[in-house]
Amino acid sequence: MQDRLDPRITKLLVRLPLSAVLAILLWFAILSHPWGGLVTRASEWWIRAAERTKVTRLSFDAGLVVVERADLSTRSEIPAFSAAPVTANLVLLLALLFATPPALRASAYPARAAAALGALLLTQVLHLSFTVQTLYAMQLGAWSAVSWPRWQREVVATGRYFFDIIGKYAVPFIFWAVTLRLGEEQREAAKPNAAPAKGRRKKKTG
Amino acid sequence: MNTAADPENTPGRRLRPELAFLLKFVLYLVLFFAATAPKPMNNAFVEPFTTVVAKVGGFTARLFGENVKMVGTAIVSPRFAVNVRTGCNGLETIYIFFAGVLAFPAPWRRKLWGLLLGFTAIQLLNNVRIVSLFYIGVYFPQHFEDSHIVIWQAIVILFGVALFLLWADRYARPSRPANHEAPR
Repeated sequence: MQDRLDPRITKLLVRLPLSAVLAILLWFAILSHPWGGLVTRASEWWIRAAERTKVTRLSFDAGLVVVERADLSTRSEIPAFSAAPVTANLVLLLALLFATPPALRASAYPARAAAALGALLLTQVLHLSFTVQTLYAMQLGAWSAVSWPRWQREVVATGRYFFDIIGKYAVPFIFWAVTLRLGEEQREAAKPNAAPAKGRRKKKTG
Repeated sequence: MNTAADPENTPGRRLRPELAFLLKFVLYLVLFFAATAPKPMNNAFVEPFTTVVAKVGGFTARLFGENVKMVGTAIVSPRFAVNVRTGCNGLETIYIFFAGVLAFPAPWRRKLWGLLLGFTAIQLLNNVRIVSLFYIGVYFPQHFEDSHIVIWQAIVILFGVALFLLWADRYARPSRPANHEAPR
Protein backbone atom coordinates (compact mmCIF):
# COMPACT_ATOMS: atom_id res chain seq x y z
CA MET A 1 0.00 0.00 0.00
CA GLN A 2 1.28 3.47 -0.82
CA ASP A 3 1.88 5.82 2.06
CA ARG A 4 0.18 8.60 0.10
CA LEU A 5 -1.55 9.18 -3.22
CA ASP A 6 0.15 10.48 -6.34
CA PRO A 7 -0.48 14.26 -6.03
CA ARG A 8 -1.85 14.36 -9.58
CA ILE A 9 -4.48 11.72 -8.72
CA THR A 10 -5.28 13.53 -5.47
CA LYS A 11 -5.88 16.72 -7.44
CA LEU A 12 -8.08 14.86 -9.92
CA LEU A 13 -10.17 13.26 -7.17
CA VAL A 14 -10.59 16.60 -5.38
CA ARG A 15 -11.65 18.34 -8.60
CA LEU A 16 -14.02 15.58 -9.74
CA PRO A 17 -17.11 16.48 -7.64
CA LEU A 18 -16.96 20.15 -8.67
CA SER A 19 -16.35 19.17 -12.28
CA ALA A 20 -19.36 16.88 -12.15
CA VAL A 21 -21.54 19.72 -10.87
CA LEU A 22 -20.21 22.02 -13.60
CA ALA A 23 -20.81 19.40 -16.32
CA ILE A 24 -24.36 18.71 -15.10
CA LEU A 25 -25.17 22.44 -14.98
CA LEU A 26 -23.73 22.92 -18.47
CA TRP A 27 -25.82 19.99 -19.71
CA PHE A 28 -29.10 21.38 -18.44
CA ALA A 29 -28.35 25.05 -19.22
CA ILE A 30 -26.76 24.85 -22.64
CA LEU A 31 -25.83 21.50 -24.09
CA SER A 32 -28.67 18.99 -23.92
CA HIS A 33 -30.74 20.36 -26.82
CA PRO A 34 -28.05 21.35 -29.35
CA TRP A 35 -26.10 18.15 -28.64
CA GLY A 36 -29.27 16.02 -28.89
CA GLY A 37 -30.13 17.71 -32.20
CA LEU A 38 -26.62 17.10 -33.52
CA VAL A 39 -26.68 13.41 -32.59
CA THR A 40 -30.17 13.04 -34.12
CA ARG A 41 -29.16 14.67 -37.42
CA ALA A 42 -25.96 12.64 -37.65
CA SER A 43 -27.89 9.42 -36.89
CA GLU A 44 -30.47 10.22 -39.57
CA TRP A 45 -27.70 10.72 -42.11
CA TRP A 46 -26.03 7.45 -41.04
CA ILE A 47 -29.28 5.42 -41.10
CA ARG A 48 -30.35 6.81 -44.49
CA ALA A 49 -26.89 6.11 -45.91
CA ALA A 50 -27.45 2.43 -45.12
CA GLU A 51 -31.03 2.32 -46.47
CA ARG A 52 -31.70 1.16 -50.03
CA THR A 53 -34.85 3.28 -50.12
CA LYS A 54 -34.33 6.42 -48.06
CA VAL A 55 -37.38 6.37 -45.79
CA THR A 56 -36.21 7.32 -42.31
CA ARG A 57 -36.72 10.85 -41.04
CA LEU A 58 -35.53 11.69 -37.53
CA SER A 59 -36.27 14.96 -35.81
CA PHE A 60 -35.38 16.26 -32.38
CA ASP A 61 -38.26 17.91 -30.56
CA ALA A 62 -38.31 18.97 -26.90
CA GLY A 63 -35.82 16.31 -25.84
CA LEU A 64 -37.48 13.56 -27.88
CA VAL A 65 -36.23 11.80 -30.98
CA VAL A 66 -39.24 11.54 -33.30
CA VAL A 67 -39.01 8.65 -35.78
CA GLU A 68 -40.91 8.99 -39.04
CA ARG A 69 -40.82 6.64 -42.01
CA ALA A 70 -42.05 7.71 -45.41
CA ASP A 71 -43.54 4.24 -45.98
CA LEU A 72 -45.62 4.12 -42.78
CA SER A 73 -49.37 4.63 -42.95
CA THR A 74 -50.45 8.16 -42.09
CA ARG A 75 -52.82 6.60 -39.54
CA SER A 76 -49.92 5.00 -37.66
CA GLU A 77 -48.76 6.51 -34.42
CA ILE A 78 -45.45 8.33 -34.72
CA PRO A 79 -42.91 6.69 -32.41
CA ALA A 80 -40.70 8.90 -30.24
CA PHE A 81 -38.29 8.33 -27.38
CA SER A 82 -36.17 10.42 -25.03
CA ALA A 83 -32.71 11.27 -26.37
CA ALA A 84 -31.13 11.75 -22.93
CA PRO A 85 -30.46 8.04 -22.21
CA VAL A 86 -28.28 8.05 -25.35
CA THR A 87 -26.68 11.48 -25.16
CA ALA A 88 -26.32 12.25 -21.43
CA ASN A 89 -23.02 10.37 -21.13
CA LEU A 90 -21.50 13.59 -22.49
CA VAL A 91 -21.75 14.74 -18.84
CA LEU A 92 -19.38 11.94 -17.78
CA LEU A 93 -16.73 12.81 -20.36
CA LEU A 94 -16.96 16.55 -19.66
CA ALA A 95 -16.68 15.99 -15.89
CA LEU A 96 -13.56 13.85 -16.37
CA LEU A 97 -11.99 16.34 -18.81
CA PHE A 98 -12.69 19.29 -16.50
CA ALA A 99 -11.28 17.40 -13.52
CA THR A 100 -7.99 16.44 -15.20
CA PRO A 101 -5.18 18.53 -13.69
CA PRO A 102 -2.59 19.96 -16.13
CA ALA A 103 0.10 17.58 -14.84
CA LEU A 104 -1.98 14.59 -15.97
CA ARG A 105 -2.80 15.97 -19.43
CA ALA A 106 -1.10 14.42 -22.43
CA SER A 107 0.72 16.51 -24.99
CA ALA A 108 -1.68 18.15 -27.49
CA TYR A 109 -4.40 17.94 -24.85
CA PRO A 110 -6.96 20.23 -26.58
CA ALA A 111 -6.71 18.17 -29.77
CA ARG A 112 -7.03 14.90 -27.84
CA ALA A 113 -10.00 16.25 -25.86
CA ALA A 114 -11.69 17.33 -29.10
CA ALA A 115 -10.99 13.88 -30.57
CA ALA A 116 -12.49 12.26 -27.45
CA LEU A 117 -15.65 14.37 -27.84
CA GLY A 118 -15.81 13.45 -31.54
CA ALA A 119 -15.40 9.77 -30.74
CA LEU A 120 -18.14 10.00 -28.11
CA LEU A 121 -20.43 11.61 -30.69
CA LEU A 122 -19.76 8.69 -33.06
CA THR A 123 -20.63 6.11 -30.39
CA GLN A 124 -23.83 8.03 -29.61
CA VAL A 125 -24.77 7.98 -33.30
CA LEU A 126 -24.20 4.23 -33.28
CA HIS A 127 -26.26 3.84 -30.09
CA LEU A 128 -29.13 5.95 -31.47
CA SER A 129 -29.02 4.04 -34.75
CA PHE A 130 -29.28 0.73 -32.86
CA THR A 131 -32.20 2.18 -30.87
CA VAL A 132 -34.07 3.22 -34.04
CA GLN A 133 -33.34 -0.11 -35.78
CA THR A 134 -34.52 -2.01 -32.67
CA LEU A 135 -37.72 0.02 -32.76
CA TYR A 136 -38.20 -0.96 -36.41
CA ALA A 137 -37.34 -4.61 -35.73
CA MET A 138 -39.35 -5.19 -32.55
CA GLN A 139 -42.02 -2.56 -31.99
CA LEU A 140 -43.89 -2.03 -35.25
CA GLY A 141 -46.14 -5.06 -34.90
CA ALA A 142 -46.67 -7.39 -37.85
CA TRP A 143 -44.52 -5.22 -40.12
CA SER A 144 -41.51 -5.83 -37.85
CA ALA A 145 -42.07 -9.59 -37.84
CA VAL A 146 -42.41 -9.75 -41.64
CA SER A 147 -39.62 -7.34 -42.58
CA TRP A 148 -36.93 -8.32 -40.08
CA PRO A 149 -35.50 -11.85 -39.98
CA ARG A 150 -34.99 -13.19 -36.49
CA TRP A 151 -31.17 -12.98 -36.64
CA GLN A 152 -31.28 -9.31 -37.69
CA ARG A 153 -33.62 -8.53 -34.80
CA GLU A 154 -31.21 -10.26 -32.42
CA VAL A 155 -28.22 -8.34 -33.79
CA VAL A 156 -29.76 -4.86 -33.47
CA ALA A 157 -31.34 -5.63 -30.09
CA THR A 158 -28.00 -6.93 -28.76
CA GLY A 159 -26.19 -3.83 -30.06
CA ARG A 160 -28.71 -1.57 -28.38
CA TYR A 161 -28.61 -3.55 -25.14
CA PHE A 162 -24.81 -3.44 -25.06
CA PHE A 163 -24.83 0.36 -25.28
CA ASP A 164 -27.73 0.65 -22.81
CA ILE A 165 -26.11 -1.50 -20.14
CA ILE A 166 -22.36 -0.99 -20.49
CA GLY A 167 -21.24 0.86 -23.61
CA LYS A 168 -22.63 4.30 -22.89
CA TYR A 169 -21.06 4.36 -19.43
CA ALA A 170 -17.70 2.87 -20.37
CA VAL A 171 -16.85 4.84 -23.52
CA PRO A 172 -16.42 8.23 -21.78
CA PHE A 173 -13.87 6.61 -19.44
CA ILE A 174 -11.99 4.99 -22.35
CA PHE A 175 -11.92 8.16 -24.46
CA TRP A 176 -10.84 10.22 -21.44
CA ALA A 177 -7.96 7.81 -20.79
CA VAL A 178 -6.61 8.67 -24.25
CA THR A 179 -6.22 12.31 -23.18
CA LEU A 180 -4.04 11.42 -20.18
CA ARG A 181 -0.30 11.59 -19.80
CA LEU A 182 0.06 7.85 -19.30
CA GLY A 183 3.52 6.49 -19.92
CA GLU A 184 4.64 9.60 -21.82
CA GLU A 185 7.28 10.37 -19.20
CA GLN A 186 8.76 6.89 -19.38
CA ARG A 187 8.77 6.93 -23.18
CA GLU A 188 10.45 10.35 -23.24
CA ALA A 189 13.05 9.13 -20.75
CA ALA A 190 13.64 6.02 -22.86
CA LYS A 191 14.47 8.02 -26.01
CA PRO A 192 18.20 7.69 -26.78
CA ASN A 193 18.75 11.46 -27.06
CA ALA A 194 16.64 12.28 -24.01
CA ALA A 195 18.28 13.97 -21.08
CA PRO A 196 19.00 11.38 -18.41
CA ALA A 197 16.92 11.38 -15.29
CA LYS A 198 18.76 12.74 -12.28
CA GLY A 199 20.98 10.26 -10.57
CA ARG A 200 20.21 7.35 -12.90
CA ARG A 201 23.09 7.47 -15.41
CA LYS A 202 25.91 5.13 -14.66
CA LYS A 203 29.39 6.04 -15.69
CA LYS A 204 30.77 3.71 -18.33
CA THR A 205 33.82 1.83 -17.23
CA GLY A 206 36.42 -0.12 -19.12
CA MET B 1 18.50 -2.89 -16.35
CA ASN B 2 17.75 -1.47 -19.81
CA THR B 3 19.38 -3.52 -22.49
CA ALA B 4 18.47 -4.32 -26.07
CA ALA B 5 17.80 -7.91 -25.10
CA ASP B 6 15.30 -6.94 -22.44
CA PRO B 7 11.90 -7.86 -23.90
CA GLU B 8 10.12 -5.30 -21.70
CA ASN B 9 12.06 -2.54 -23.38
CA THR B 10 12.19 -3.82 -26.93
CA PRO B 11 10.00 -1.59 -29.07
CA GLY B 12 7.26 -3.49 -30.89
CA ARG B 13 7.62 -6.67 -28.84
CA ARG B 14 5.19 -5.76 -26.08
CA LEU B 15 2.14 -3.57 -25.91
CA ARG B 16 2.55 -0.35 -24.01
CA PRO B 17 1.16 -0.95 -20.50
CA GLU B 18 -1.55 1.72 -20.78
CA LEU B 19 -2.72 0.29 -24.13
CA ALA B 20 -2.67 -3.24 -22.71
CA PHE B 21 -4.78 -2.00 -19.81
CA LEU B 22 -7.37 -0.41 -22.10
CA LEU B 23 -7.60 -3.52 -24.29
CA LYS B 24 -8.04 -5.79 -21.27
CA PHE B 25 -10.57 -3.35 -19.82
CA VAL B 26 -12.70 -3.52 -22.98
CA LEU B 27 -12.31 -7.31 -23.12
CA TYR B 28 -13.56 -7.72 -19.54
CA LEU B 29 -16.52 -5.43 -20.24
CA VAL B 30 -17.49 -7.49 -23.27
CA LEU B 31 -17.06 -10.69 -21.22
CA PHE B 32 -19.31 -9.37 -18.42
CA PHE B 33 -21.90 -8.36 -20.99
CA ALA B 34 -21.73 -11.69 -22.81
CA ALA B 35 -21.99 -13.56 -19.50
CA THR B 36 -25.04 -11.71 -18.19
CA ALA B 37 -27.00 -10.45 -21.21
CA PRO B 38 -28.46 -13.75 -22.52
CA LYS B 39 -31.96 -14.32 -21.16
CA PRO B 40 -31.20 -17.49 -19.13
CA MET B 41 -28.30 -15.75 -17.34
CA ASN B 42 -30.34 -12.59 -16.94
CA ASN B 43 -33.16 -14.58 -15.33
CA ALA B 44 -30.83 -16.64 -13.16
CA PHE B 45 -28.52 -13.89 -11.99
CA VAL B 46 -29.43 -10.30 -12.91
CA GLU B 47 -33.14 -10.43 -12.03
CA PRO B 48 -32.64 -11.99 -8.55
CA PHE B 49 -29.79 -9.54 -7.92
CA THR B 50 -32.02 -6.62 -8.94
CA THR B 51 -34.77 -7.93 -6.63
CA VAL B 52 -32.33 -7.96 -3.69
CA VAL B 53 -31.16 -4.42 -4.54
CA ALA B 54 -34.80 -3.26 -4.68
CA LYS B 55 -35.61 -4.98 -1.36
CA VAL B 56 -32.67 -3.26 0.35
CA GLY B 57 -33.93 0.05 -1.11
CA GLY B 58 -37.43 -0.67 0.21
CA PHE B 59 -36.05 -1.63 3.61
CA THR B 60 -34.08 1.64 3.76
CA ALA B 61 -37.18 3.65 2.82
CA ARG B 62 -39.05 1.88 5.65
CA LEU B 63 -36.29 2.96 8.06
CA PHE B 64 -37.22 6.54 7.12
CA GLY B 65 -40.82 5.82 8.09
CA GLU B 66 -42.21 5.23 4.59
CA ASN B 67 -45.13 2.87 4.21
CA VAL B 68 -43.75 0.90 1.26
CA LYS B 69 -44.31 -2.61 0.02
CA MET B 70 -42.33 -4.59 -2.51
CA VAL B 71 -43.94 -5.83 -5.72
CA GLY B 72 -41.21 -7.73 -7.58
CA THR B 73 -38.53 -5.12 -8.23
CA ALA B 74 -40.88 -2.20 -7.54
CA ILE B 75 -40.91 -0.16 -4.34
CA VAL B 76 -44.54 0.88 -4.02
CA SER B 77 -46.06 3.41 -1.64
CA PRO B 78 -49.38 5.25 -1.79
CA ARG B 79 -47.40 8.38 -2.77
CA PHE B 80 -45.04 7.05 -5.47
CA ALA B 81 -43.67 3.84 -6.94
CA VAL B 82 -40.16 3.31 -8.24
CA ASN B 83 -39.26 0.25 -10.28
CA VAL B 84 -35.63 -0.85 -9.97
CA ARG B 85 -34.60 -2.34 -13.31
CA THR B 86 -31.44 -3.39 -15.09
CA GLY B 87 -29.44 -0.18 -15.33
CA CYS B 88 -30.61 0.99 -11.89
CA ASN B 89 -29.17 -1.92 -9.93
CA GLY B 90 -25.59 -0.61 -9.87
CA LEU B 91 -24.32 -3.43 -12.10
CA GLU B 92 -23.19 -1.05 -14.85
CA THR B 93 -20.83 0.73 -12.42
CA ILE B 94 -19.73 -2.59 -10.94
CA TYR B 95 -18.88 -3.90 -14.43
CA ILE B 96 -16.74 -0.83 -15.14
CA PHE B 97 -15.03 -0.95 -11.73
CA PHE B 98 -14.44 -4.72 -11.92
CA ALA B 99 -13.10 -4.47 -15.48
CA GLY B 100 -10.70 -1.73 -14.37
CA VAL B 101 -9.48 -3.70 -11.35
CA LEU B 102 -9.08 -6.97 -13.25
CA ALA B 103 -7.27 -5.26 -16.16
CA PHE B 104 -4.86 -3.41 -13.87
CA PRO B 105 -1.47 -5.05 -13.26
CA ALA B 106 -1.65 -5.80 -9.52
CA PRO B 107 -1.33 -8.83 -7.24
CA TRP B 108 -4.49 -10.98 -7.15
CA ARG B 109 -4.90 -10.60 -3.40
CA ARG B 110 -5.16 -6.82 -3.78
CA LYS B 111 -7.50 -7.23 -6.72
CA LEU B 112 -9.82 -9.43 -4.66
CA TRP B 113 -9.90 -6.89 -1.83
CA GLY B 114 -10.56 -4.15 -4.39
CA LEU B 115 -13.46 -6.10 -5.93
CA LEU B 116 -15.02 -6.82 -2.54
CA LEU B 117 -14.72 -3.30 -1.10
CA GLY B 118 -15.62 -1.65 -4.42
CA PHE B 119 -18.74 -3.79 -4.78
CA THR B 120 -19.85 -2.85 -1.26
CA ALA B 121 -19.15 0.88 -1.70
CA ILE B 122 -20.93 1.04 -5.09
CA GLN B 123 -23.98 -0.79 -3.75
CA LEU B 124 -24.14 1.51 -0.72
CA LEU B 125 -24.15 4.56 -2.98
CA ASN B 126 -26.67 2.89 -5.30
CA ASN B 127 -28.96 2.35 -2.31
CA VAL B 128 -28.74 6.08 -1.57
CA ARG B 129 -29.61 6.70 -5.23
CA ILE B 130 -32.69 4.47 -5.13
CA VAL B 131 -34.05 5.97 -1.91
CA SER B 132 -33.32 9.55 -3.02
CA LEU B 133 -35.04 8.90 -6.37
CA PHE B 134 -38.05 7.58 -4.45
CA TYR B 135 -38.21 10.85 -2.51
CA ILE B 136 -37.62 12.94 -5.65
CA GLY B 137 -40.58 11.05 -7.16
CA VAL B 138 -42.68 11.87 -4.09
CA TYR B 139 -41.82 15.55 -3.76
CA PHE B 140 -40.52 16.65 -7.20
CA PRO B 141 -41.96 14.20 -9.73
CA GLN B 142 -41.31 16.63 -12.60
CA HIS B 143 -37.56 16.26 -11.94
CA PHE B 144 -37.54 12.48 -11.63
CA GLU B 145 -36.39 11.68 -15.19
CA ASP B 146 -33.55 14.23 -15.19
CA SER B 147 -32.40 13.10 -11.75
CA HIS B 148 -32.54 9.47 -12.80
CA ILE B 149 -30.97 9.64 -16.25
CA VAL B 150 -28.50 12.51 -15.94
CA ILE B 151 -27.62 13.42 -12.36
CA TRP B 152 -27.57 10.10 -10.49
CA GLN B 153 -26.14 8.16 -13.42
CA ALA B 154 -23.25 10.62 -13.60
CA ILE B 155 -22.68 10.51 -9.84
CA VAL B 156 -22.65 6.70 -9.61
CA ILE B 157 -20.41 6.14 -12.65
CA LEU B 158 -17.97 8.88 -11.63
CA PHE B 159 -17.91 7.39 -8.13
CA GLY B 160 -16.92 4.04 -9.67
CA VAL B 161 -14.17 5.71 -11.74
CA ALA B 162 -12.88 7.62 -8.69
CA LEU B 163 -12.92 4.45 -6.62
CA PHE B 164 -10.89 2.64 -9.28
CA LEU B 165 -8.31 5.46 -9.48
CA LEU B 166 -8.02 5.47 -5.69
CA TRP B 167 -7.57 1.70 -5.57
CA ALA B 168 -5.10 1.65 -8.48
CA ASP B 169 -2.91 4.41 -7.10
CA ARG B 170 -3.05 3.72 -3.39
CA TYR B 171 -3.57 -0.03 -3.00
CA ALA B 172 -2.65 -1.79 -6.24
CA ARG B 173 0.87 -0.57 -6.89
CA PRO B 174 3.72 -2.07 -4.93
CA SER B 175 4.98 0.09 -2.08
CA ARG B 176 7.66 2.62 -2.89
CA PRO B 177 10.78 2.01 -0.85
CA ALA B 178 11.31 4.72 1.71
CA ASN B 179 14.25 7.01 0.91
CA HIS B 180 15.87 6.51 4.26
CA GLU B 181 15.61 2.74 4.17
CA ALA B 182 19.03 1.13 4.04
CA PRO B 183 19.48 -1.59 1.43
CA ARG B 184 19.87 -5.06 2.87
